[in-house]
Amino acid sequence: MKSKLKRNIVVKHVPETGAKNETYHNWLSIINPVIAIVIAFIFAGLVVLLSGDNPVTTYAVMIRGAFGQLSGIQNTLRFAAPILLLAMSFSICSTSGYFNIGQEGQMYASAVTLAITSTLLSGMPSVVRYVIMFSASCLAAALAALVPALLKSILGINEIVVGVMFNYLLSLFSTWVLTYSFAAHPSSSTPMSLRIPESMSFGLYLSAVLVILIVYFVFTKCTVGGYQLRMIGKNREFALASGINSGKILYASAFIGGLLAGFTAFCEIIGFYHIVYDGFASGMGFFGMTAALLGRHHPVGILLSAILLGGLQSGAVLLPVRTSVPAEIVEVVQGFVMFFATITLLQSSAFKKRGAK
Amino acid sequence: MNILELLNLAIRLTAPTLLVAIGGIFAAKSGIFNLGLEAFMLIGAFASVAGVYFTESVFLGIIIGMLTGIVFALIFSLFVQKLKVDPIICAIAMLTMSSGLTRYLLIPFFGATGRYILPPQFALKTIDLGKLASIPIIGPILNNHSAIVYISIITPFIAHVLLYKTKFGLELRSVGLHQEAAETFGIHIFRRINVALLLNGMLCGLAGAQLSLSLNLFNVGMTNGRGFTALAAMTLTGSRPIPTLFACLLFGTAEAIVLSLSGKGYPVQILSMLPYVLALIAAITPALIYKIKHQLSARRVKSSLAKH
Repeated sequence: MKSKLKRNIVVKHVPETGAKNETYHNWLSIINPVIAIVIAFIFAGLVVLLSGDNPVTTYAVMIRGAFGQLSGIQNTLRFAAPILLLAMSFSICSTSGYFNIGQEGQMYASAVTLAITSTLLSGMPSVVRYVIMFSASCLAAALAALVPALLKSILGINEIVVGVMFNYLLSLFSTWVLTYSFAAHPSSSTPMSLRIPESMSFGLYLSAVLVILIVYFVFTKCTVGGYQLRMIGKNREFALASGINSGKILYASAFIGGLLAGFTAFCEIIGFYHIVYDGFASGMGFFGMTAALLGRHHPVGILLSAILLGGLQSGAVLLPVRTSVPAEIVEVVQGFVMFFATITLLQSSAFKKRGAK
Repeated sequence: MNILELLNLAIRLTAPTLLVAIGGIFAAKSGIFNLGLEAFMLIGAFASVAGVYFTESVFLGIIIGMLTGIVFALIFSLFVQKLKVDPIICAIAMLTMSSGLTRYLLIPFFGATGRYILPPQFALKTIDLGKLASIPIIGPILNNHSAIVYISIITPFIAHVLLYKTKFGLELRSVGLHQEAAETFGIHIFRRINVALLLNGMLCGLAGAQLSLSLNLFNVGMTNGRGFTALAAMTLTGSRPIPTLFACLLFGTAEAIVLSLSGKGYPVQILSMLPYVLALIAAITPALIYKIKHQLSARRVKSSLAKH
């Protein structure tokens, strides 16, 4: 009896973590994120004001920097692309009830694999290298995403705790590989890999992201797999009763989520950095998560939120030059946006009461 | 470094994790699985450093750290209870917000990026136990800690008494076990959860103060997953305060070992993995044991059925 009670308590504290996928046909679901963004900007403005700067000029500089000239827009898209990919990765996982907080860890796994394969295959023809590097790095990230999903499904362990631990472990591991292993840059004082000669044009990157977005849209809306995915996220018992193999779907969504996170890291490194830096992914997971939550897991919503968050990042580039506000204000705005985006007006009790009257 | 010094260091490193874990237990007992422990701790650490910097008093700094923790916990409570936000998503959002805020505010407050070191006169005073320190083994381990560390050691016992021996604790646990039943009984659920989260925020703030003021600095992201380690410790012990003390001591010892071995030629990164690996094991073990037990008993039933 005692052990049974204990078990009850343990199970009680491991809640279902599915992001509740609200129906997005409601007009409130469009108003909601807009309100969240406005409140977030007001609060961040207050923070700026309290630290002794003018929020209006700050925002003006940011908007001009992000959407003012062609280079600004290009920059915005450059920052929006990884956010969009990570948001899709987060979204597809949370539709099936798996909270993918381990995206940064998955990106480090992908980047380390990329650095190692690139060093190992240094003599090979470029096409072979490209294919092997691509598949290995994406697979590594997918496997890193699969482990918490397995633990969740088999043992019922909270995947967020495991995911966070994996983030720290994989980040430490990547630092170690980039400092001591054969893939490390021998003459550099900071941990980084050797140069990876392959490159990828920005156009290709963007079009790949857009194709993935369309595939994601079609998959979640129009296919049996997407239907099963949503069903499991909304009501696990009902899905089980209708004969859906919930474990398999959960693993599949975690795997796809990991693949997307790995692909993000691959594109970032091959497309821009050409060198795996230590800690290159820090904070990126949060941006993806914010975009997914703000966009309510809807493809168009995610796209718009990613552009907004990308705009924030590219707009902040000019901030230290034109004003005395540090570029870190982006993270404040992003934090507030995510925070206020969690409120669903329809669910809140204040709104319900008014409706009941 | 001998074993006693190592254990002394372990006690000091245990304190923040332990305080946070006990805070988490209060929230868990009231039925809210609070993943935002890390956020409250980070905010508490920052606020206490800022408090010390502006008031030039260590005591006021700690109080400000605790108050900030409480404010954030009450905001969390408002969001979860009144606005019906999913507590998990809200907690992760608070984590993002706290990391962004501390990273930004570090610059206008102290004019420093990434890290701010307080002047040495504001160091957390350690307490000499005097004659008690001469007790063999226990004396040297427990001597020369700050007041917060001593508070943290007695916290699990206070929490145990509060949760299991008082009316308040009974009501709190009943809210956590079955809200409707508790409400029928005439317990004000909103207030009970609020008090639990208030205690949670206060302890997290205190933990943050210990973390930052014992090192005399604030570092961006200095909590380093300790909030989640505390969650792992809670999972390991089924959210019971006194066993949690021992689980946290285990993590503290691991951290102390890492700290004492680093800088001796071993790769730091691999060493630093130890606490996280331990936390992972702690999170996995209870479920694994339960699963194995369950399967064994199922097999026993099956074989006894086959005999008849």
